[in-house]
Amino acid sequence: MSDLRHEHEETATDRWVGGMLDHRRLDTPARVGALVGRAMDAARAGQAGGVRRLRIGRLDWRTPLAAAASVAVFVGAAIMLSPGPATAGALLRAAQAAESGGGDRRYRIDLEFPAPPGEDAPRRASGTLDVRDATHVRLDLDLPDGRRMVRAADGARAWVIEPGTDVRELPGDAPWPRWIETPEGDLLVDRLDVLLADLAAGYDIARCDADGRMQLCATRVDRAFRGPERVELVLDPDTKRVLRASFAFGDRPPPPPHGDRLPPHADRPRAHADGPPPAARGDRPPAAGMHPPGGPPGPRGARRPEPRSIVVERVALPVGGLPEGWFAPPAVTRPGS
Amino acid sequence: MPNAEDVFEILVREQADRLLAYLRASVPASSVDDLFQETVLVAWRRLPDYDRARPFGAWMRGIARNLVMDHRSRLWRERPVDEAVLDGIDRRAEAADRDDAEAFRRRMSALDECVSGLPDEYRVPIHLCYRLDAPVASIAREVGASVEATKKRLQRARAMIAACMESKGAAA
Repeated sequence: MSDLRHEHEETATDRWVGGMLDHRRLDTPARVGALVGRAMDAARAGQAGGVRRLRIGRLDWRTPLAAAASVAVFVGAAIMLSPGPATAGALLRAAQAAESGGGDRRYRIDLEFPAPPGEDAPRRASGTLDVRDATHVRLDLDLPDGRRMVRAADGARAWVIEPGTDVRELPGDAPWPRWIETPEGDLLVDRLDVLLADLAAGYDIARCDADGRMQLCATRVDRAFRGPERVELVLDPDTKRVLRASFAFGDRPPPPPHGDRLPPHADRPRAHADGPPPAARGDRPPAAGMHPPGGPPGPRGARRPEPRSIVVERVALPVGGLPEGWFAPPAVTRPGS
Repeated sequence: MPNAEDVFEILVREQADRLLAYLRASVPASSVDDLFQETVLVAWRRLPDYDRARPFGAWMRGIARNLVMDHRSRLWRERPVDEAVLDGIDRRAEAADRDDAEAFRRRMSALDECVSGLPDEYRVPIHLCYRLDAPVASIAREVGASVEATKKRLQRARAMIAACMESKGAAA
């Protein structure tokens, strides 16, 4: 936890409630048990060896000995208590922090949609997601029928190019949507730090290192919001950035539109508890020809098809970086204009 | 028959959660573990002076409070905390001084219920801040509000949680 967060806890009530909430999250039974054990070890050591205290901020000849002992105890405890170099929760938080920073990065996206009725082969799409920061995001998606759609935001403007249409500007304050509509169905595309936050909120997470790779596996436990059933993350062991994320949606039927639990971010503008984004967001209704194969979307609130899987993999930026103005809407030239 | 050391450790384990919650309210996160250990060490050293007529938890927290005050200038070097705020935390902690481990668990359950019962406008910032450890600027972006408005919303949410807990007989 950042100590600076206490900045907004000003009154005694703020601090007291904040302390209990922090305690609730941070002090797991295992951690509390280890803390007590360590303190008791230190007390016993003090009793036996005359080193009675580890006074903070006071240096005397015992301090180096005490420090060495505490380091040894810490290392020992870390070796005994940790399943690996870091717990799954700590790794997830580190990955979230790493992904929330600025800086251009590119991800390759591969999607697989269920085969349409009467067909055997699943339909595949691929594209790139470019991210500079929370407000500069661009998705370029090549659809199974060869058409391309683009959706982007440059901090001031949000825009979209749907297949067969010109660029269309969306309301300037339109947030990046969690689910993007494509002719194939709805596509979960969001910044990784935001997706990772949802993992922490609604999934069981465990380390699942394999083949020498640092990995996290997450299984959904909170079904009140729309999301993949399983998620696997491959992390860079040094930076904790996400190298690869795979989302598997499975064939589970959608939950009822009005569950008794709220999604973790139910009031967040970009989150949709169920169904596609609301019309007020500016990206609905879909343009003509945008309905998925088999007809238009169902009644209001009905869920559109989801991909069976999404794989997001970090790839190198183009030589020379992203082109200037990459996130801005392109100039529109209409015939006769 | 358990010796004094065993009994002391049992009592410390029973009070550990309550003591940690108090310390988390009182000092920066980076100092909580150190002060917890310091409190246990001082209590162990002063155990012969312990008045058995007093609740053990209150005695331990009194030691912790003295340590917090001793270290206040160092702990909060960059952003000193008003002594009145620490006194206020202390008064709230007193309400829980006679809690045993089970009573403290009930208090935490009440906390969970009160957080769950918040309107979304307040619950989501609290969730992002205290469960996901998101900085205020990130929370502001998520909820579509300014940083200042988000701070106010968090403050209001904490006040609502405190009032809710009080209504459940688990004064915050």
